Amino acid sequence: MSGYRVVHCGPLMLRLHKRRAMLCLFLALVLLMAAVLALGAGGTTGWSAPWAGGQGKVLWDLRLPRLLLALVCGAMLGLAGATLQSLTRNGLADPGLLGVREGASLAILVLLFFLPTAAPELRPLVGLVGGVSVVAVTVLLARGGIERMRFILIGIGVSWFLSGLIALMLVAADVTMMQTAMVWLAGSLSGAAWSSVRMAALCLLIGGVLLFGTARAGDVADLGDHLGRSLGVSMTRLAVVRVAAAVLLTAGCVSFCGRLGFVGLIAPHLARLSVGGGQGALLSASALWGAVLVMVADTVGRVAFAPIQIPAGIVLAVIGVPVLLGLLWCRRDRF
Amino acid sequence: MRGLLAVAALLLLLGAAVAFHQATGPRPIGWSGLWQAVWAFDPMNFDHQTVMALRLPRLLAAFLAGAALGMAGVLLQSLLRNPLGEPHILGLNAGASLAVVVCLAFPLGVFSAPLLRPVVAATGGGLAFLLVLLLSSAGRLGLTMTKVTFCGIAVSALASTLTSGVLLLDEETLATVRLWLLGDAAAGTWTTVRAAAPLLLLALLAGWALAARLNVLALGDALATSLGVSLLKTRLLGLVVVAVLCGGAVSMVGPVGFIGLMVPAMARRLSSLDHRALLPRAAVLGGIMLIVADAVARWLLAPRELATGVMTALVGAPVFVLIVARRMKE
Amino acid sequence: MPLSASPLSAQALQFSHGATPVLRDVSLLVPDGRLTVLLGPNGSGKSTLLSLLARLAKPSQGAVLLHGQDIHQQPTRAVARQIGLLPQTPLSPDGMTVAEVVARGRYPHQGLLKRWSAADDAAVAQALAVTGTSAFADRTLDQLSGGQRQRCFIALALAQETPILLFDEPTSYLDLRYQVEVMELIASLPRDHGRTVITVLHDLNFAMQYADRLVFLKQGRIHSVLEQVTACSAAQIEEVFETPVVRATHPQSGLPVFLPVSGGSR
Repeated sequence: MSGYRVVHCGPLMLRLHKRRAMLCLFLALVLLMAAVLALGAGGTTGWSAPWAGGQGKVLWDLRLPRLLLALVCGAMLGLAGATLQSLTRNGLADPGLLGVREGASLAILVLLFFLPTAAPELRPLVGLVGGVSVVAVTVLLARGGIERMRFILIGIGVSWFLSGLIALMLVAADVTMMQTAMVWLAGSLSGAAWSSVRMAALCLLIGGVLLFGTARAGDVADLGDHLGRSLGVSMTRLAVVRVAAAVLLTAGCVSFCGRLGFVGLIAPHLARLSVGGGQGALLSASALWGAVLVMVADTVGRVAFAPIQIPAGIVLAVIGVPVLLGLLWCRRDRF
Repeated sequence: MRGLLAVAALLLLLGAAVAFHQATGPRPIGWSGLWQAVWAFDPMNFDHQTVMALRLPRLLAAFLAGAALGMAGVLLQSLLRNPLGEPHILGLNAGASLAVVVCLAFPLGVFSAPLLRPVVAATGGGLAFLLVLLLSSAGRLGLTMTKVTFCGIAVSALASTLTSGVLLLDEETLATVRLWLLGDAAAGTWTTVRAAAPLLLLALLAGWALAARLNVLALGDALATSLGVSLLKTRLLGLVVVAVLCGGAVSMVGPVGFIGLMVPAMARRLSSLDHRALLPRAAVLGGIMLIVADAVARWLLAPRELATGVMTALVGAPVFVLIVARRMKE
Repeated sequence: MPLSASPLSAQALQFSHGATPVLRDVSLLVPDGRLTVLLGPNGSGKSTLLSLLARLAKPSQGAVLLHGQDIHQQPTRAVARQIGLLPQTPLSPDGMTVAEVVARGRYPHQGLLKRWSAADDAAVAQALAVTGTSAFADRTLDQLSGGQRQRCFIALALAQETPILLFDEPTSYLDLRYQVEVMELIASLPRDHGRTVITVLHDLNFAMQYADRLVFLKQGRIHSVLEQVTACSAAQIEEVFETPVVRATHPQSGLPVFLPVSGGSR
């Protein structure tokens, strides 16, 4: 079999696809360079004397955490989208379309309103609960067959309802709370701080370990329920672990930068186009592409119409909606 | 007999809805106050001012928009043979909003005039819907329920993204349309009602006139053609009427969703499936529903007001989910 | 036949979909190293029996024994090293090459750290060679014909290196040419590689040409078991399928062939 190389490292033995590994490495390099450029872009400072006085402060306290948060959240959304698309075997599955994002947002909003003093560390956990309940409800409503378009349509309906509830809560809240919540929900990275970067990175780590740990089982599961089970994968347990991981990643992202749309939809498709391969390659490339997307969206939103800052969520929608239309067009014979 | 009963019940409901709407206003004004304000208007009386400048246009806008959206729902569902046919889901509302916002943000001469707002909205909605139809009729299986719905959602997303893009760069327009863009009957003023009402009445009549053709269309394309109904002409006419109905509604109260989804389902229970009876009843029912939705939105968190569109989404989204879960077995 | 010669057996299996019983009291011994074909009319429960044997579903009563132990008492992985399956409609993920799909058959032999070994390489290469798919190992599945694709999934089951293989209607949706191609391959597995094979077949005459042993099911029960294909009579087929047939003899193999009697729906 061409293209593979077996790697031995102590007790660890694994098989890498040379071209795909190189492509991921290349993507990571591009990401790194783009990150350096993005760090320098903006109103007050360039790279001329980056660490001098006030400029260093801008870089260290504002731009670096913001950039890192963009990378981490992008990677999280990319991973979540790739997982949901594999699970539902539907390239249109996205945390935003399935209602996961709205469920997490609503749960976090409830926390903000009723326990405003609660530690921000609780947010991803609360979001996880909200997101998982939404998935459970959607699965129940769809009654079997999460692989069909119907499942996604039901998810869309549920997320409409949850958006209504979110709007209701915003009206009920007092004015300062509402303003905070509105800014947060709009999907902006402007509030990034080192503390949120650390928390988000922790979420990414947990979700990533769960997903990469089950990647090989996921490969087998891609062959269908029967074949998966006869190859020794407990399909239900696997699905539960992967849904939980995807929801945790989405909830983590929602907690720290609000509702960023379309990343989970686009990143896996870019990954399939550019790298291809099984779950391991798909997850790595989706994470990288997600990070690229959010970082570019945030930087463009920050710089393009300066001094007006456009929230990354809107820039992402401008990229994402045409992609969604294109995906529908490509699937026109299927449903 | 049953028909008469249904009509009487509808009229009674309408009266009750108006009373409820009247009672939920933040300022208590009795029936006599209302009566006097209309028939013996005193410009110095604050109650009269409230009634004439705020309540009446709001009520009228809600009723007319609801009627238009209700009938548009029936028309869409019959024309597309799709229980998810609804102006908001299929992109008409978002397209109409985008057109209005663009005409407000950029100086486009007569098109920015308030009198032409319903026409602009209708054009925008119609174009968006045309795009949805073009996209979803591609492919081997043709215009399936799932595909139309998905394309509608995608085109809606496209239009709303463009709308928020325009508004981000133009804060002045954002301030004027903010309330309206959420879909709120409170945005209805005499100016917009006056501009939209004649057009809407015309479109409602035109929709009713299509009833006989729709009855034949319900028998299937092949039979309809052999009975002498031109499919293309009926569909085109229907789509123009739907676009005008939605444009008129959006120009007054903004993009309010789901009325067109709930009303047809209810109206079909209230009346025979004969479109000649179904269409006017759906219109009245839609009017009632939007008035009630507006009243509840005003009353639920009083003294704060919820946008009417949020209210209809809270009820309508579960209905959407139910219809998908039940009717789509693929 | 002694129990010890039968690695896989069913004991008094009962199974129902909701209230409708699908299998009633089915007991079966699967002999080692032979090709057993399950035959029966639609709804006779043959696919259900296969899925119970493959541990895809749990019987409401009775048990499937693998080496004398209840299959549901054994770990999933352990069973996956003993029994391989070719389901009726496996999914082929977009953009996967044949070699990558076949490599997934090695899953039950791999561990957390030992993710790929020389044994895996050898098993995949052999599976590709046996099924004659080595030539297009680097092509993606969507570039292949139906028969080639089916052979790839058989290769996947072979790479799993299980002594027992189950096939659920492996020739459905295939043209005649590919049906022959796939059946020749399946028949060679017990003969040349010592595997135990159980397959559900729809086509009576394919079953006659390739089977070592026939198991007839009717209305959720085992109707009869034939250890010799030549012993199959027209009367037996008429009883199971409830339609008149005549028996002929294949001019080359000398095995029975059954032909429907036209205009004879009695």
